[in-house]
Amino acid sequence: MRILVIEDETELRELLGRALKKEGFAVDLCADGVEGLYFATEYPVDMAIIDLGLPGQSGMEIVRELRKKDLKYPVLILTARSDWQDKVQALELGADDYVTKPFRMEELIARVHALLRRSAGHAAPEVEFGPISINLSSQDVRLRDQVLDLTSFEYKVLEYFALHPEQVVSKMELNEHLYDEDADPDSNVIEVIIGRLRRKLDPEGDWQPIETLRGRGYRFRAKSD
Amino acid sequence: MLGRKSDSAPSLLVQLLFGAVLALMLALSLIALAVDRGFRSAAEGALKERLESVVFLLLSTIELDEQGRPVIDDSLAEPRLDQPGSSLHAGALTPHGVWESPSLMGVTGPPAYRLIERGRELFRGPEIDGSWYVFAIGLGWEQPDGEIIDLTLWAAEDPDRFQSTVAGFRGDLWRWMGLAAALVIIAQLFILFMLLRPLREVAQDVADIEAGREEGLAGRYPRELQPLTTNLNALLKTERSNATHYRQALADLAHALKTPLAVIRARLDSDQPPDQDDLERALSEMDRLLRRQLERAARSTRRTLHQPIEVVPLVRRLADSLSRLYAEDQVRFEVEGSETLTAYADERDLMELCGNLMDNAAKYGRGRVRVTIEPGLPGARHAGLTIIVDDNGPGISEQQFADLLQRGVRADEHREGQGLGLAIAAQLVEAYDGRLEQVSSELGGAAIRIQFPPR
Repeated sequence: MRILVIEDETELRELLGRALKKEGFAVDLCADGVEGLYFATEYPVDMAIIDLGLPGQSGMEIVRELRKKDLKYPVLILTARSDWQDKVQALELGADDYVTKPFRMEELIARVHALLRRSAGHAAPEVEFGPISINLSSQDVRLRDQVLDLTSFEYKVLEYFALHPEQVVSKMELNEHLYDEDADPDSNVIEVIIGRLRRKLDPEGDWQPIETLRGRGYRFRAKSD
Repeated sequence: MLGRKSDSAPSLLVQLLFGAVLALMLALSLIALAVDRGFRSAAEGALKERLESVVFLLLSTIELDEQGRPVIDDSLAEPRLDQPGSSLHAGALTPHGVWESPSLMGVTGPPAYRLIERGRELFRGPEIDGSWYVFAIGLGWEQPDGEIIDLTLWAAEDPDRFQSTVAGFRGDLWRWMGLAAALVIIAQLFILFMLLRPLREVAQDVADIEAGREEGLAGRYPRELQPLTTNLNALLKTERSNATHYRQALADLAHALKTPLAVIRARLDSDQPPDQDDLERALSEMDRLLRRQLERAARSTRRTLHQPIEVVPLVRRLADSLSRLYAEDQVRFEVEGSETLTAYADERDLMELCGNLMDNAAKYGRGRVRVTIEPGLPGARHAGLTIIVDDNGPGISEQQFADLLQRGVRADEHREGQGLGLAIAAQLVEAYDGRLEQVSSELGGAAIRIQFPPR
């Protein structure tokens, strides 16, 4: 999943970037409001973390612009003020949650996971697809109650599928959402990862959760029948 | 305090006095004009009567000779008519002859006279008849042979006498009017001076407060000034209370920061390299204390003089926002109360107050929160307001409730967790002289009631 962070304090921005990357997210970092709005509207973002007090364009204005352009991905607000008036204003403009500074990184990461999950329509962190169950919070994946050993990139691909079930996902889309701006992935990597995931999720070959749609991409099946 | 004399409006005393003098002058002039006219017309009436009596005197002594000429006995009952050069004259004329009083002797420009119709009388002033007041009557005189001859009798007076009477009266009138005006102005000056005394007293009392000699406006002020002095006292009280709160907050903050600072100092002073986790814990504790204490100082700031805020729409906005935040828990918010109910409070404070209580109710309830807004006790200027936030959670015991309220008392005593919002809400309500208490819950959980007092 690709997360955009718009925060003008360099230390905090870098810290957020590192922590989110460590969690397996592709991360884009912006230091000011104008550039932030450009990224937020032009890049394939899955979620944005926006500081309210930004130079150039305020966080509130960015949220307003995003929603005006009908971009519906979740937005988490970072703010130094914890007044209800500010919170209500941000939520009314279209933000989905807020975190007040200073915050614990674990709490922020938990909120990020919860928002992504909620935006995909999953109420609980535990989601099930046929014999597979994925805990989007602890990142545990089980096949018929057996814990599967996935690499971090395999998990990222599976998580993206889990948050977009029954949807056609092109290879390009996977590239865009799983790698950040600077990365230059080998075009074969995705195919190799998909192949490995198929073997791990469906060792018997009787379920085939990831369909290949020739010329279009892949589709993750939500049910095993 | 800097004096900005050039910006001040003209003195109230001068403005009032100027207005009063103008009105007084106008009124006195109109009165004088009316009295003058009245006197003049009365004096003219008296003059006419005088001339009329002279004419009738003449009538009692006049005879017509055989040729029909008027003849009057030499000795007249009115001596002024006999006296040449006097101001009173009389005469009689018929178509056959004329008689004039001896007083007319040597008078240049005597009154013009002519025969007038029988039965008519006329009275004319100097504006018509040269420089004379003239009264004349027309009669028919029957001769012994039965012939009736037209006879006109007249009397005239020089207007000087009349004019000097009127001028004398006018002089007296304006002198007395002037004296009355002067007395009224002096009286008004005195009254205005006395009326404005309470304002000077307020100014003096405020100066005493500024100099630290007084705590508030304690004098007996007229009823009209009481809204001003009451509000001024409220502002003073607020200002003093805020200063105390800020001082307390700073003292609490300094006290609270000493512990984590001591931890850092001890770690740096020890022989072993400082432990990253320890330092981080101390720093985040300092961060938290700083934030909490600044918020508390701002929240416990006392407020006065507010515009009315409609409560129900504000609570609805909060409910919508909280519904999004608690989307996963599917919390249902119910808002009950008339749309027109208002609170005289700062919008940010009211939102903070309701937001904290509703957040708690959503967090600890089991999916149902009800906010009821009701009018409070009636007041002189505006009524009070009651807000009840109820939930269907496990509820809070009395002891827990007291503990929760106590948590916000000192920054270094409180720990992050359940119910912090309640302590913040309690401080906010206190800043408005209101009450926050736990009441029996209709939904079976915790119900918190806030009461804003009437004003």
